[in-house]
Amino acid sequence: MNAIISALPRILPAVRRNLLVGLTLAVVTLPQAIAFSTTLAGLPPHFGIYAAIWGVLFTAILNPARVFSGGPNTTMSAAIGVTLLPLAPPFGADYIGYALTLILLAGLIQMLFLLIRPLGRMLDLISEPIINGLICGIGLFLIFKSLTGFAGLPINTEVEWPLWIAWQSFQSVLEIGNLYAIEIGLITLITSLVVRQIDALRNWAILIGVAAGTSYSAWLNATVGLQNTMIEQIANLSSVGFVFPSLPVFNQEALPDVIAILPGAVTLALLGLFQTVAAMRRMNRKIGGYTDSRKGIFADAVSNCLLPFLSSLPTCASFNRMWLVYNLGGQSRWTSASSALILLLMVLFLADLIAIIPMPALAAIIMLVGANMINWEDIKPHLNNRREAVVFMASFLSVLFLDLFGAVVVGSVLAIAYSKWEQAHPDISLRGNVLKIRGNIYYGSLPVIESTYHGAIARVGEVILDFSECYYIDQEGIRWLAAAKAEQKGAFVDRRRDQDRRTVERAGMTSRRGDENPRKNQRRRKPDRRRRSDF
Amino acid sequence: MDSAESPDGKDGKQRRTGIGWLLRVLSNPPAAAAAIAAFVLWAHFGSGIHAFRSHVPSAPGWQQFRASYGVDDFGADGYFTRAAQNGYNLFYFTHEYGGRFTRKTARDAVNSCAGCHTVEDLAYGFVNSDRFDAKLGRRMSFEERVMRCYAGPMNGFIPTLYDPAVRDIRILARAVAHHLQLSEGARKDRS
Amino acid sequence: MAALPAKLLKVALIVSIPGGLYLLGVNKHAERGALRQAAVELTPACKAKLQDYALRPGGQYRSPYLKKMTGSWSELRGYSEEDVRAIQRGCNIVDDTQGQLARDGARERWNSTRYSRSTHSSCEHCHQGVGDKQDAAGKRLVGSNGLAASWVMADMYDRFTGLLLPYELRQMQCYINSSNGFKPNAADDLLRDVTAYSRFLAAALDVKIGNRYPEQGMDEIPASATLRRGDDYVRGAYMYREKCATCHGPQGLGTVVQGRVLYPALAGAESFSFDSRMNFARIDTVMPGFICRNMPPGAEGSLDNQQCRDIAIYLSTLPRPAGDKQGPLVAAWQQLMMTVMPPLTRYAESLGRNDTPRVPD
Repeated sequence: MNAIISALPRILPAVRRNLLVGLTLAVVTLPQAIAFSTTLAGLPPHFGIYAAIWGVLFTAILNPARVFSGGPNTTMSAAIGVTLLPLAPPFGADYIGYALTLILLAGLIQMLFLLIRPLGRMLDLISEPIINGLICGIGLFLIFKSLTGFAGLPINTEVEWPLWIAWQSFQSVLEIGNLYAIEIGLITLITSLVVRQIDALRNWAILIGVAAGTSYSAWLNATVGLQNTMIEQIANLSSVGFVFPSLPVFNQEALPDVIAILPGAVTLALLGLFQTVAAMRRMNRKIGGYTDSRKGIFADAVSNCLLPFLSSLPTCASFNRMWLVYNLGGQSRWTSASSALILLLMVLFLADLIAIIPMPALAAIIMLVGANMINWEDIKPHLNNRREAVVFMASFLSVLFLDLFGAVVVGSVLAIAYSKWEQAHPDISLRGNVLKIRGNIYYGSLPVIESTYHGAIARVGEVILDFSECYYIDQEGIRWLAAAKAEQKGAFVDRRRDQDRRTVERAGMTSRRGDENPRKNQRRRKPDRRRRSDF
Repeated sequence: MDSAESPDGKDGKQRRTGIGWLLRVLSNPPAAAAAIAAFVLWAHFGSGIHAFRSHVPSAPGWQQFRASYGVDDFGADGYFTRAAQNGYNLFYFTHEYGGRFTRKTARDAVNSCAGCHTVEDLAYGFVNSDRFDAKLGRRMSFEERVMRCYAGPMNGFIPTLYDPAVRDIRILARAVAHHLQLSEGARKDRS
Repeated sequence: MAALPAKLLKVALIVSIPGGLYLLGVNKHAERGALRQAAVELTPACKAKLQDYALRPGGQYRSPYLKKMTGSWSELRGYSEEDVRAIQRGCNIVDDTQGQLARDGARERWNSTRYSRSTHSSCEHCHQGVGDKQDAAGKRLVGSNGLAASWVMADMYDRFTGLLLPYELRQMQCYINSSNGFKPNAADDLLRDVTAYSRFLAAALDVKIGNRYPEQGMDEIPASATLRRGDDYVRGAYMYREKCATCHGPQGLGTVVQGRVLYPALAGAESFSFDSRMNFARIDTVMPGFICRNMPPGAEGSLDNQQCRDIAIYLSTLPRPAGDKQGPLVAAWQQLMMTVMPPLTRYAESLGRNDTPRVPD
């Protein structure tokens, strides 16, 4: 105890800073968390609140990385809604039970990714264009999905959200939407967007927008009456204590439905893991340093296995939150913990105020969050490279035209195919009569290499193969090289520096004795004069 | 944990204090996971808070109600019967089972639908719904009428159309209307 | 400071675009309100039916049908003018969903074609007699898909999922499956007016809530109602050519005359989708039941059970749009089949026309 007291002057400024950043995080997260849970997941608001409290706290504790911040997530909430809408009416006891089961199953699947290392490694194959394509598609999806909530209309239970259904929803909003709800939504939206233009208040834009919408809603209800405005609100939270234990549904009669939601659980698990890995990767890039993504997977898996027992939405890492904390100078774990505790206090003492926040305002928030996910700065780099552009567009369109499960499957297949494609297409350049191969010479890349090689021979007659930047040659590659050598149309050169060659020789890789590896002989046969050439 | 400002964990005295020990435990991921699991277990078994279960809880008087109104006509158990039971809970114990949409508590004199209506009222209201309401100047559905009740007399909020808080009231109304063999537009004073 | 005009422009855009949309919304709302107040032009069938049931505004409603069938009057709550208009519109929607008999289909049928990919479908095709099919004596026909009987049993179970299905959701299913379309919103007048009409029918026919009536739903013919000789689509194709092709077209593509659907498509892009209950491949009892009960018009009951099943299985072999549950690959395949098969079949049959028939006539 004495040690703590003596350490106080040292730690107090940091504690103050973390508390302040935690407060910012708490007030920024609260409306979003509630919006995710009611508008997207179809669950009562306390699910989002507990995700913002316990989910954030658990991931802060479980991930020892310097920057990691988990919490409720739009994509995962949308996946819950999409999976469960056909099964039961939202907000009901059945639906909640299935949701808890779904989250638990997703947690268990994430646990599999943690325990089976190769599975976890496969997540690293999910490249940036795929993730960004998924995120942009889901951003658009969120905008469409919140249209009916924006106008106070019952949700369209049509689970698929292609563009034409979104258009019909938009027309419904114009023709039969609740005008009061639309007004509230518009005020929230416009206020948030306008406040965002003011740099100093950028982080508070959403909160100010919600405040504006709530104020207008309160005024409407006071003048016209809630019975006439028919505006849905977050509603009574006073029964929500600091924790609400819950049990997922796992009985015989529910089994067919539980089996039916398994694909949804896979989708949920993968979406969470993709986002966590991508967020951590991006964070590593931005701030330097390295954090093993396994830590993120561990935090996700354990949290999502335990959160269903506390009436909470699932969590995953959020780059935006981590970036916000980093920019505000907070220490990620302490900040997350303090934001969770502050939020708990807010919910316990400000429940009456939170209760009157109107749903159209939350739908407007979802629209904003969705629009923010479509970030041109992130998309532009991918469009410069044709391969990345194709992958990005495929990922983006799969969200719009297939359901989330299909999109996740397409994303995973694309990831593997993309990485294989990259490997099978080494960079081959022909300068003069030097054919330089940067990449792998293996069965997958040989067709491309051979066609370029023979094309070059046809053009220039004799070709020098420079494979000094070749990383790997398999047996098929060796066979081809031997055949090419036998034809005597080409010479080989390996322009690695002499030191490297000497190291390689010392390691016994080149042999004067046997011919076990023809490659070694070929390397030795390089003409000396070319070693000093200036190619 | 990872920041330079955290208390010095190397000091022997520090380790023995509760906070130091806790921080050490939480720094070790598997131990932290175990600690969180222990917290969850405590929440379920030690905290005394009633855990949420998705089955419809049994409220007082349900068995008698289902017998007298023949709800079992639709099956002794099943989605419909459960929805009717949930409707019963909502109707008679609104502050408890529909607490999300009403500010009324056990202390209020009128804190449930049953405080103002009988289930027969509900059934007749159902078969006479979807009609023009002179005060509003437009047609009003049964669901809207229920929502307005939550918002107004029950001093609460507006539920969603699909919310079981609305749907199960309608299903209760249907069950009772079936028992009373009401036809569309039946009038209470004329039957 | 140079950024300020750009920011102001942004703010102006942020305010004006949603504001403009809001004004558009207010305008559309006013339009709808005016349409709700407008007088309704009834289709001929609706005019007759509603007249028979004495629908008019008043303090109470007495059903002439009930008087005819039981000899006593019922005293039910009356309808206001707005209720009457809603019921009339609902009847119109059931009789002529696509608005082909209306002067301005989109306005008079609440944009129903927006929710239907098929241009042939109309509720009346399956819910015959404008949702209330009776014989000459006024007895309601068994398995005739009566809307009143559906209403009193609403909130009961969906056959496919076993979940409770509110009336509006059941209507939405019809749009999705039978019209190969999309779901209108639950609060849309399109659904509410049909509900109003169904409820009026329930009042007129004096059916009680929660009772099961024989006219509810479609008649079903399972294999056990036949001699179990198997369902043969070749036999079905022959029966189809004999009995159905004259009206529904040799390839089931329907008959459209001067923009009006006389006989709807049973296959192809304008027909019901894969997920529909009329599809023998999904539920093999409903379509045979419908055929035996209602077809051919004027000669109902002339086909035996096995023949109805054969025709139904034949119809299920014809290409039709894939439903939501089939996924994009099946949908693409069905699209291809629907585009390619009709001209291919026509061509193939034209080649065969000059051959001697393989089966004696």
